[in-house]
Amino acid sequence: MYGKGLRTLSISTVIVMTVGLAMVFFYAPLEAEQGFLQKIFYIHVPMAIVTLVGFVVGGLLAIQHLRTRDPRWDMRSYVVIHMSLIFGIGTLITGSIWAKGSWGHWWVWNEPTLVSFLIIILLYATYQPLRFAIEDPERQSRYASVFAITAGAFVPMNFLAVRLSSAYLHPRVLGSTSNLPAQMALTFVVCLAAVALLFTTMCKYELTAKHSRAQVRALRRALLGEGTGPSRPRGRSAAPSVHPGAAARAGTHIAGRTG
Amino acid sequence: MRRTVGALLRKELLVELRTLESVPAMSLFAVTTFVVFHFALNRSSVDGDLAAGILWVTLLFAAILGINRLFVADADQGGFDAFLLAPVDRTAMLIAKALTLLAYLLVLEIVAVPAFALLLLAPPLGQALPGLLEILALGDLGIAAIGTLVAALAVRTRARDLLGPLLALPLLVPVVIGAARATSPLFTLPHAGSPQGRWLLTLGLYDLVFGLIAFALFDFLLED
Amino acid sequence: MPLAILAESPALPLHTAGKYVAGAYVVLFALVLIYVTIMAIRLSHIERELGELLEIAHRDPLESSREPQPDPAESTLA
Repeated sequence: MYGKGLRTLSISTVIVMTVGLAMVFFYAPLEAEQGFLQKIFYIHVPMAIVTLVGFVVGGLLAIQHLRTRDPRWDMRSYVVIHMSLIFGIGTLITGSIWAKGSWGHWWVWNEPTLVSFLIIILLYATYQPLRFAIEDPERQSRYASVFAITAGAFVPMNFLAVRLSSAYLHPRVLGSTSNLPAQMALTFVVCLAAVALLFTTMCKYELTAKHSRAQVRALRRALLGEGTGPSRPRGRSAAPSVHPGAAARAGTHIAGRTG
Repeated sequence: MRRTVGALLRKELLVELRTLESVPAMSLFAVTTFVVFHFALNRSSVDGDLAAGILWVTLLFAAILGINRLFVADADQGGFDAFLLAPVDRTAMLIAKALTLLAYLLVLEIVAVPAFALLLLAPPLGQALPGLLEILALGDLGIAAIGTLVAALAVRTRARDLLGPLLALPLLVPVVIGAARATSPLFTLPHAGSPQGRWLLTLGLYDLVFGLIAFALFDFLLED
Repeated sequence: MPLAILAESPALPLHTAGKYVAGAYVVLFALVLIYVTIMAIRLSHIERELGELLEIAHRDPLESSREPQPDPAESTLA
C-alpha cells in the first residue's frame, strides 16, 4: 500500500510550502548586494540540495535492491532518480535565470554548483535510455541498480572535483550560503523543508499511481484470463513494474512487463 | 584468483595481438585527432592549459574506442557463458579486463604522447616527462576502472556503442579535470613547473573509490 | 526609508529583478502543475480501465466467476 501516508504528507507539504513562500517575500530581509534577485536563492538552493540527496538516496535504494532482489526497491529507486532528474533540470533552469539576472549570461562556468549539476544531469539522463535498451526485466533492474549505485557515488565526488577546479580562480557568482543572517537562515531552512516535502510527496504519489496501474492490470488478468493486454497499445516503457503481491515472490524471476 | 587473472589476461593480450582490433585503431585515432586539432584551432603549437586539454581530450576519446570494444567479443561469441561455467571468482574477469584496458592505454600513450610532442606541443617534452608519467599512470587507472565497469554495463544493451560513451564521459569528467589541471603546469613556457599535489590526490582518491565500486558491483552484471 | 536605500544599491533595479525572480518561481510552479497534469491523465486512464473491467464483470457473471488464473508471469522462462 503506497498511498497510506499520502494525505498527511501532501497536507504538510502545502502548509510548509505556503509558510516558506510567505517567509521569502514578507519576512526575509532584502540582501544588500543582489537585492530582490537574491530571492531566487530560496528555491534554487533547496532544489539543488534535494536533487543531490535524491540521487544518493536512489543509489542507496538500488543497493537494497541488489541485496534483497525485491523489485519494489528497484521501483522506488527508479522513481526517486526520475524525480531527482526533473528537480535537477529545475535547478539548472532556476540557476540559469539567476545567472542571467546577476551576471548577464544565461550560463556561467565559474559557478561550480551549476557546472557540477550539468555533468550530473548529463549522466543521469542516460538512466532511462539504459533501462530502455535492456529487454529482460530482471536484467534491466539489475543493471539499472548497478548504474544507480555508481552514479550515486559519483555525485559527491563530482562536486568535490568541480569545486576544486574553480576554487581559487573566480569568485562565486551566485553568492555563498555560509554566513546568513538569522532571518534569512530561518527562511532558507523552511524552504528546504518545503522542497524536500514536495519531492517526497511527488515520489509517493508516483509510486501509488504505478502500483494502482499494476493492480488494475492484475485485475484485468484475473477477470479475463491471460493474453489480454492493456486497453491502449503502447511501446515498452523504461519504468519497472511491480506486481501486487510481488513481495511474496521476491527473489524469483518476475517477468512483469509494463505494456 | 591470481592464476585466473593471469590466464584471462594472457588470453586477452594474445587475442589482441592476433586480431589487432583495438590498439592500432586507438593510436591512429589519437594521431589523426591531433591533426584535426591543428586545423580546427589553426595553431601550429600549443602550450599550457590548451596543450594539457588537447592531450587529455584526445586520450579520453581514444580510450572510449577501446572501451567500446572491450567486451564485444565476449558478448557476441559466448565468452560470458563460458566464463560463468568455470569455477572461478567472477571478479577475476573485471581485473583481467581492467588490466587489459590499462595495457591498451599504455601502448596508446607510447604512440600518442611522442606524436603530440612532435606535432603540437610547444615546450620540449623532456622536462615534462617525469611528472607526465605520474599523471598518465593515475589517469589511466581511473579510465581503466570506470571504463571496464561501463563497458560491462553497456555491452549487453541494444545500443551498446552509444550507451558506452554516454555513460563513460560524465563519469570520467573528474579524471579529465584532475589530469588536465595537473598536466598544464608541465607544459608552460618558458619552463615547466611541477604538477600540483592536490590534483594528484584527487585523481588517486577518485581511482580508489571507483576501483572499489567496480570491484563490488561487477559480479551483479555477470549473473545470467 | 532603509528599504529605499537598499533598493538603489542592488545589482538590478527592482522592476527587472522582479521579472527574474518571478520567472524562477514560475519554473517551480510549472514543474508541479505539469506533474499534476500527468497524474490527472493517468488517473483518468485508470478510471476508464476500471470502468471497462466493472462492465465486463457485470456483463459476464460466468466468465468473471472463473478461478483467477495463477499468474504465468511467475514462470522463470522469460
